[in-house]
Formats: sequence, structure tokens, C-alpha cells
Amino acid sequence: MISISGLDYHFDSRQVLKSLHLNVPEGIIHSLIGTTGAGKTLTLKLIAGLMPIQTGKVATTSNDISFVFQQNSFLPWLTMQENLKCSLGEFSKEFNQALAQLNLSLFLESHPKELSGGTLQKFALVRAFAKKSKIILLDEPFSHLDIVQKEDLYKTLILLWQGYRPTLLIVSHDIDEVLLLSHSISFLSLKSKHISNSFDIRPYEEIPQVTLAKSRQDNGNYQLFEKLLGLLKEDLT
Amino acid sequence: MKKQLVFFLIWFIFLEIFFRLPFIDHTFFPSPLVVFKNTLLLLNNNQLIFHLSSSLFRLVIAFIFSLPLALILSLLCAHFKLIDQILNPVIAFSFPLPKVAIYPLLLLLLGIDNYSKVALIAVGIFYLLFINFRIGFLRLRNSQLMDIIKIYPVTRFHYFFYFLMKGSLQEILTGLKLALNYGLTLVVVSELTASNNGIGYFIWKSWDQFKVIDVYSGVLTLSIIGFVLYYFFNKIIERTSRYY
Repeated sequence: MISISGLDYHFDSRQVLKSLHLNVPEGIIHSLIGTTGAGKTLTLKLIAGLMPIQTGKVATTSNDISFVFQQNSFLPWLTMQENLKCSLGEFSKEFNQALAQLNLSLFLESHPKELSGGTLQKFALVRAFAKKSKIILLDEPFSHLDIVQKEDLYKTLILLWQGYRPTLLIVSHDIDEVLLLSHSISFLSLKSKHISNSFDIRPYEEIPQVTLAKSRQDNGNYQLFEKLLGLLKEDLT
Repeated sequence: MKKQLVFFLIWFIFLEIFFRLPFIDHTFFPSPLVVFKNTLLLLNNNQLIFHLSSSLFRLVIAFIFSLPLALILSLLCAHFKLIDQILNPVIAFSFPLPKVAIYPLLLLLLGIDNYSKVALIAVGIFYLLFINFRIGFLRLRNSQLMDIIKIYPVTRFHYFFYFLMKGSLQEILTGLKLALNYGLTLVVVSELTASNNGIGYFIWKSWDQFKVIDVYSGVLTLSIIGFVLYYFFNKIIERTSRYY
């Protein structure tokens, strides 16, 4: 569970977050959507302890938090194997199986520069879940991938999540993506600097079915899509 | 590499012809081939080897002192802001000082033996090592990559060797390259006075005895060493920068 209350944040004199409140129940996939510059990544970094909290409170059920970065998730001068061993120690049998299942074993001797964005993010997902953290934060993990890679990674994400159902908080600006993956969504408004709307998309126990084409036909999704798009547009005017 | 070799040969032939022209004073301006032959002769009778090994010995000892000190201090500066703030003014004040200026002082304090020479070289190269190492470590510590280390804690061994050392390899190698080059300069300078061995002494003595060709041989030896080091380091930097 993640619980944030009264979170304020200033960059020098500019206020980015203003009394932000957010509650994410245990074991669900929650998405934080908002326009660029709304403070989504900042919120994640504050939860993860990567930046110091100025005012407000962030409480999590566990201090063990994994993070999937938007880019540069690995040390470029090490091979993938060295990178993973640095972060996780020696590979367990289970981890080796996961790598094989996701067709990642082939790339263990490669350096990050030699791999595609999709493969790197797949490695980043596997690493985050291998740590068995109760909370996993994902900072626009799929934003720079093409649609085929995206679908592949959505499936990977759901597959890994099903393993032990940690709490996921995904930051994104892609409406399709959040509708597809999440149980619930919060809208972080650039104007009011806190969460202005929240939506429940599906029952918390349901496993999201990630097929991009199918989600386009879903009428309920379409209405939510319009609603979220309206919010994003309104925020930018 | 092939092209470089061709240009080198063209230069060599050009200079060889030029310095053999009749209006050139061959005592003061011997041709490259004559210098080269003389250098081989000096190498053969172990004169150059003896002086060269004394010089390199001083350089190595200076590195043994400076390298660990520069490494430890730069690590401390990168990890503790207070230490960095305390050291910064000292470095900023003393770095621009031409180190040769303190040589008389060192001679006075440490005597005319090896101590003063090694001290001069060690002080000179320390700055280049420290400044480059510090920049490398600080760049890493302030980079986004540090977030990975915070989220996925690593062992001390991994942090030091896999993160800090490998991550700042470019700065470390640059520091070493500059330090070796400057170190060589300081070796020669320190041997020009109060010495009875070393390549600097050899050049000075040859000049004193009016053996102009030996002066050229000394210079050639130094430039070959300098070139080999420069080439060697550039190759390593080139090879290791592939993944950064």
C-alpha cells in the first residue's frame, strides 16, 4: 500500500506539487496520468526516496521498493549479466527460468548500448520483479517504444505481476496504456498541482487482459478515454 | 595506422634530405639517421639504459606515492561534501603554481638526493590525478545512474570496482595519461640540476661537454617514450569508450 498525504514540493520558488493526496491499495495496478511537467515522475521519486520530501507524508507498507526507470536503467559499461548480478547477486534458478521464458538469456553478454529499447525495458521489468519488492514504481517505462514492443511488454508486465501481485504504480501520459493495464487511475493536474480526479476501471481482483486491438472496441473504455483526454486538454489550456 | 606510418616515413625522408644539405651545420643539426645511429650506440653501451632506468625509477616511485593519495582523496571528496569544500580552496590555490618553482625549496628541505626529485614529480602529478579522478567520481555520483544504485543496493566491492572505477574509467585514464606526460617533464627538469644520473642529467652533461649529438639522442629517447605512452593510452581510451 502507498499512502501520500499533504505532499508539497518546490523547485526553488516554483511550486510543483500542492497538498497531493494519494492512496493505492495493496496488490493492485494503479496509474498516475498527467501532462508533461505535472510532477508525475517527481511523485514517484519522492515515494522511492530518491528525492527528499519537503512537506507532507509518504507512507508505504514496505521500505523495499523497486523502480523501473524511463531510460538508462543499466550501467552502460557493464554487460547485462554484470548489471543484473550487481543489483540482485547470484542468479537463482527461478530467475534463470524467467530470463529464458522471456527470451532474455541470449542477451546476457551484451552491453545495454547493443540492445533495443524494448529488450532493455524487459530486463528492467524482470529485475524489478526479481527483487520481490512489495511495491514497484514504473516511470513511463514504455513511452519510447513502438506499438508492437509495447504490447509485448504489457504482457510481460502482467505475467510478472501475476507471480506475486505486488502493488504497481505506473506513471504514464498514454491514455490507452493506463486503461489497458490499471485497476484504477489518478489524474495529476498541472493546474491544481494535485490529484484532481480518480477512476476505478476494473475490480481489483481481475487480471488485466492486454490486447491492444480488443481494448479499442471496448465501449466503456472509449468513454473513459474521452473523459481523460478532455482532462488532459483542459489542463493544458 | 598505415597512413600514419606512411606520413611518418615521408617526414623522415624529407628531414633526412634537408639536414644533409651542404649549407646546414651538421654539428648543430645532425640528420635524423645520424641521431638514430648514435642513439643505438648509446643504448648498446648501456649509457642510455642506465640513465633512463634512473629516470623511470623516480617516476614510478612518485606514482606509488601520488596515485593512492589522489585516489583516496578524490573518493573522499566525491562522497563527503565537507571534505570537498575544505580541500577545494587548497587545490585551487596551489594547482596553478608551476611546480618547478618549489624545486629549490624541496632541495633545501630534502637534500639533493632522490628524495627531492621524487617529491617534485609526486607533487606535480598528484594534481592531475586528483583533479581528473574527482571529476569522474563526482560526475557519476551526480548522474541519474546513481538512482539505480540507490534502488538496487550493491555490495561495496561492486560499488567500488563496477560502478566507480569502471564508470569513471575515461577520467581515470585521462588523468594517468596527463600525469605520465607531465611526470616525464618533471623528471627531466629535476635532473638538470643537482644530479649525477637520469636522462635529464645525461642531456645536460652532453651539452656541457659539447656532445651535441648526444643531446639529440637524449631528446629522441624522451620523445619515443612520450609517444609510446601517448599512443598506448589513447588506444586504451578508444577501446574502453565504446560502451559509454
